[in-house]
Amino acid sequence: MNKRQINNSMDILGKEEYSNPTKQDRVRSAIINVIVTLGIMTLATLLSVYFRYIGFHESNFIMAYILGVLIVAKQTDGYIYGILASVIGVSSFNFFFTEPYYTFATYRPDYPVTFLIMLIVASITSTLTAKAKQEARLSSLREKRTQVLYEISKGLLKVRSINQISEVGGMALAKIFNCSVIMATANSLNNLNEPFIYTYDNHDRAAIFKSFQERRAAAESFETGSPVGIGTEKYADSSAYYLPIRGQSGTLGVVGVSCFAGKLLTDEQVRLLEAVTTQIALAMERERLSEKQQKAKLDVERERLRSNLLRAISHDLRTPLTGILGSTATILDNDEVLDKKVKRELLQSVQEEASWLIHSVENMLNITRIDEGIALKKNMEAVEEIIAEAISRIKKFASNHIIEIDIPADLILLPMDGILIEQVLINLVDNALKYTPHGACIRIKTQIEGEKAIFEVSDNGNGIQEADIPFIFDRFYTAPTINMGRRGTGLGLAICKSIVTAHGGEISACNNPSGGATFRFTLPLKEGY
Amino acid sequence: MKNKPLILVVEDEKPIRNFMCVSLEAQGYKCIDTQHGKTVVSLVAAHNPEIIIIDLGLPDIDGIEVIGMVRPLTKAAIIVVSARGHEREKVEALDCGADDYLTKPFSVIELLARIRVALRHSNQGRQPEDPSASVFLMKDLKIDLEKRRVFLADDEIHLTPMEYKLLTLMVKYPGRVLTHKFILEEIWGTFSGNDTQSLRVFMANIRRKIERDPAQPRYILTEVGVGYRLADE
Repeated sequence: MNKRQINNSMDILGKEEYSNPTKQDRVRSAIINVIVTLGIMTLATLLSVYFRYIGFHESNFIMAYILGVLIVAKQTDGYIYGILASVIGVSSFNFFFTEPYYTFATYRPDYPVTFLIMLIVASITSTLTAKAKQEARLSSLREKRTQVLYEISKGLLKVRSINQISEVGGMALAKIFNCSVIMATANSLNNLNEPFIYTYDNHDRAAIFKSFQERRAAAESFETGSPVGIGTEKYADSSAYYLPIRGQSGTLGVVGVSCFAGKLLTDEQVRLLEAVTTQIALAMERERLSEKQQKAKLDVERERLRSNLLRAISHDLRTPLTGILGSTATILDNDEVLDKKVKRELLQSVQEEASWLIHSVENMLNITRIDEGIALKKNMEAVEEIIAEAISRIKKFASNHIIEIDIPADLILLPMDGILIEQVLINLVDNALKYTPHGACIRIKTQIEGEKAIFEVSDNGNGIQEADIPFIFDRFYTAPTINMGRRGTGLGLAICKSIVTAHGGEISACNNPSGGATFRFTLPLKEGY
Repeated sequence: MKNKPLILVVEDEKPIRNFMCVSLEAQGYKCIDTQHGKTVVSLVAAHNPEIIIIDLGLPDIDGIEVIGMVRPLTKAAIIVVSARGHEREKVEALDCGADDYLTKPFSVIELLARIRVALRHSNQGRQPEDPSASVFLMKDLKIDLEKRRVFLADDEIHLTPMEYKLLTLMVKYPGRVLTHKFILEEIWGTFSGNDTQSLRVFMANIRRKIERDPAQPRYILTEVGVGYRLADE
């Protein structure tokens, strides 16, 4: 997102226009205005004195004063100085240029009329000038406001997530008003989250938002959906102005702008704040909608997986269960007839079926757990310990295979969920056991490469069909096995992939040039994923 | 004739309870069983079993709570049964006073092995100190506890004082799982979750000295997520 652009446009907006001027500033500007007024009127008087010296008619003096008033009205802020200049002009004309000179008295009876007309003319001109000036200022202010809004909405368009929106909006507001801004968004339960506080320039100002009173005011504004705080009826003694962020579906959050030393926001500022808040509300609403959409999509996906899983369970479990039921029924019904050897064979098959069932159910449990989002319990684990434990578990099924281990002499400690990574290794070795002929060699190798630890489980069996490789980590994807005479659940490798991905690693499979297959996965050496 | 050791089985699943009792009795143990965790205290008081096997997933009361109530009453070895993936539960049970654990699904062979280890420990506790016990012997590993020397197939192994301390702690409890917390408290006297990393480093160093292949250890076995176990038998 383009923060700099927003910042630039905020800089166009001079601080004096939207930021609340302090008392000192106001006194200073009044003094400057008075000095300007006096100076210009003195110049008008000097000009008139010069006119009298070269013998001009006295109507020119009046014109000189009116010119002075006009210039004052243009150079100063507000009506007061123009009117002040008019009064000064009339008085000076009276004082310096009417007989008797240097007194406020007059001999000629028509002078008061002159003074009055002069005063009216001067006042009207100065007022008109001031008004024109004011209008020009306002329209440029409006233009700038439009520009600011445009930049903010452009910035808001580029961000994702509610938090980023409130960050961009909060920063922009803090900058425009040159004050601290508090921004709290509503969570899904319609409670206010912990607010974020943004300050511009002055960091210690943020402290005001920490008080309980301010928190209460913000919550009140959120609950009632109306402005609260300084300048309103509720919580008028708080030191900030709170405006709810209102969207179509209700209040989305609340924004607060600090006002120090009891200064209220001007109407103009409130309007700008409302406009920006509307932009923020729009952005948040958009974001909420897209989140909802995303969630709905995920739900559909999850539902699809679940039904797949159910289908697999019902199919894969029925076969062995039928076998178990048949074998046990045979023994119970024909206990007298069957000889010992047959009974033993039947029982052995029951045991095999049952252990396969347990294995499958473990896998299915694992995959549902992963679907619900794995909460990794990461610890610094020693790689050799994990490999050792994985092998000790799988060894009893590996009597027909040779297992070799190749790990570096140096201890490798990695952040990982030990139980899950152990499961990955077990599944990979189990996979190799299933798909390689008896007597094959399975090799587990670990090494460090750059920022990653690499684990490899390779065998010297027949390798993987090239056509299978792209799908091998998909759920329910199985190839005919060699050893067990029964296909797998098609979940083992899918679980491996989910676990490794959750750790921030990658998993892949390939055929070795010298024959056999290699499964390879990486784990980052450092946390930080 | 020697008295048959008495084993109390606390398990709510009838088939599992049945097969445990049948196989235990077939091995010459006496067996009483219950499905209610709440009756355990009175059963222990009445029969004084030598071993209690308890499922942590009982319907009426939390198994860990039962262990907490029973532990002060008896010296019996407590073996907990819990599902795979519930490592935290096992650690909690062990730290509450359980002596060992079995992960479901377990085989009869595993069950009997755990019971033999547990019985050996309770027997050791009763017998007067064997003078030869100052030398620990297992496979090629020989530890002379009196002279503080360690040999592997007659070659002397040089351990640092800390490594020696760790090894002798494990030797005190052969066959039993020791949780990270237990080991850290015994060796360093304190436990703050992050120290497990240094424990792993020490263990790796010991393994490099006494194991031929650290990835297929013969002496110090890892119980991932729980702790360590010194091999037995």
